[in-house]
Amino acid sequence: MENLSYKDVNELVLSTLTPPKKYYYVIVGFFALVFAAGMSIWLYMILSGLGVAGIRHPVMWGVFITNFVFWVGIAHSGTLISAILYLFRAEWRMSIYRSAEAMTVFAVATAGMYPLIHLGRVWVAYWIFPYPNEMLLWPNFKSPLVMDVIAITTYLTVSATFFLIGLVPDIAAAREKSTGWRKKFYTILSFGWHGTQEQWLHYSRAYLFFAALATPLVISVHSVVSWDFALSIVPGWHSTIFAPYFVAGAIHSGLALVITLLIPLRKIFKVEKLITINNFENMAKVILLTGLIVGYAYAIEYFIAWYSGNPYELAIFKWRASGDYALAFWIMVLCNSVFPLLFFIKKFRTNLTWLLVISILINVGMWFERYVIIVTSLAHDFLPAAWGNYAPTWVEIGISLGSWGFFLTLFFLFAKFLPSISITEVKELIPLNKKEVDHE
Amino acid sequence: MNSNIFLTASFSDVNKLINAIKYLNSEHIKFSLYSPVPNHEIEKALNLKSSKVGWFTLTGAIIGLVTGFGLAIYTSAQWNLTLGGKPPVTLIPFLVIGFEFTILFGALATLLGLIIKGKFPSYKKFPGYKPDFTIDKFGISIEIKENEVNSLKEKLSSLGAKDIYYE
Repeated sequence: MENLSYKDVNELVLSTLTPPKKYYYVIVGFFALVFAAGMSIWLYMILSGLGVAGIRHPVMWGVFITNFVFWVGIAHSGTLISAILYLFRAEWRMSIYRSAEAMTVFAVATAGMYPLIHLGRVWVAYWIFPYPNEMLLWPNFKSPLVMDVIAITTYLTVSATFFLIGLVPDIAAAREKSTGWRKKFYTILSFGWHGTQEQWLHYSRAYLFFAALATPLVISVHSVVSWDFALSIVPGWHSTIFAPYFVAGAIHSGLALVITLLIPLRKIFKVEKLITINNFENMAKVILLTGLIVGYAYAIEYFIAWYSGNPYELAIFKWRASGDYALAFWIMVLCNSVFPLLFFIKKFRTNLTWLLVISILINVGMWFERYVIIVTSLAHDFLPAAWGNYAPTWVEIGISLGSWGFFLTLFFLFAKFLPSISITEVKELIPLNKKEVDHE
Repeated sequence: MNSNIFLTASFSDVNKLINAIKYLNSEHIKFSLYSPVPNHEIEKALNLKSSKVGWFTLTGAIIGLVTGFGLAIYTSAQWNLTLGGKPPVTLIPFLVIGFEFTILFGALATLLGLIIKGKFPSYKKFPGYKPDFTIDKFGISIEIKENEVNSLKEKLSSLGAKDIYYE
């Protein structure tokens, strides 16, 4: 990257914003259609009632809540890369943080749909918010579900603001190189950014504080999500290790999705000079770490179940590994904590095909992790007479695919209309005082 | 006529830019500076007072903390109902609410601070601004009398300015 000039970086990144070819519209159109189909299925479910989904007693939380936890988890690595690594001044984050951050915002938006989808009467969803009402009722702030609503709305607001603020100087750079309606669009979105010293002064300060606020927020959000489970007394859920276990899992799955999205993006946009193998290798190293933490958590859950001497706790863990959902359990163990171990070998960390394969496997594994935790604990709680298994119906599968359509539509629109690599931060990587900023 | 005009010099080397800043400061000439990236050395040379945006963040965060706890305590006290064996007003679970509101209000106040202190959005024309200043050039724009132009122009050229424009 050190051989590039400011102008090269500018041109390389802005070349990703040139008017798209026909196949781009075909792809976006396809994802939008998938989303529309998913929404139609939701409408069908609203009209006919939750009975058309597979959730029924005793498993009242199924694929919808699995998807919710999965998408919130996906969001986390974006904030890790954009805020936490910013505070640590990790330079390898600079060319990838924008896409990761966009992924965060879209993933939280996707996650946010699921509690609504899961509601029997979605038209009264606003009841969960604290506002003075004629019934003189307030939400119960001791309930982790209410905490979760507040945590997720805060997370969506803060990460979207952080994302937009980071974009401003880059949009100004795009403004100067565009014409027609794009110029108008970028002029409005740049909020009058001209790079004056006063603007930079306040901007850098505000950005630092945003990063400092987002860092504890991201850790708190998935902790609160984990307490949706851990604060109940259901065997398999009632555990003190859930918060760190979930946060590590969230970053594990999120980084895997960043890799899955960035490998094609890098190839399509031909930005190999900016997003290098080094970026992927570093992400693979973090995945190795989170994979080890997650694997440790899987193991220690069994130890806790055995050492607690609680027969219900032990029974549920035995059943997870050998009962009706054993396949899902072993997919989870293999994909999340065994396959990532390949990243100990440098070849797997630096080969894009292997990175793509392992990152997709991790995403599959992390989805199954949430599925296993949620469904098995509810299916076999205390009394055998009240046990019952669960399987998703076509309605749940359709809505789930629809949410992928939603996420991918947004991501594709973002990649073509906003700078998917931070121009400013990549420029900062180029040593300023050692050489002229342009080739003379 | 001796009217005011804007003289803008563009630089592509930071060291030369810093020398020019030092010269202008020593002559007490007021100027505005455009740059494509933030840079600590430029900031140091400019001798700007540090940004006050942090005070907005702090104020917002404190208001958020009070609001979060206040909301949870006030609403729980409306109905004296024991839930889950806990008294109506229980501070430990309310910590989560207080924490989230601290972050939310802190972030929104930071945004407000940035808007107020950085004067965003401003769609007015910036005198002397050139599109290159968001790409790869640094610019210094000075408002001066017409009869002073030539001497300053020469000085800036000798300090390494690449292009000089008038407006």
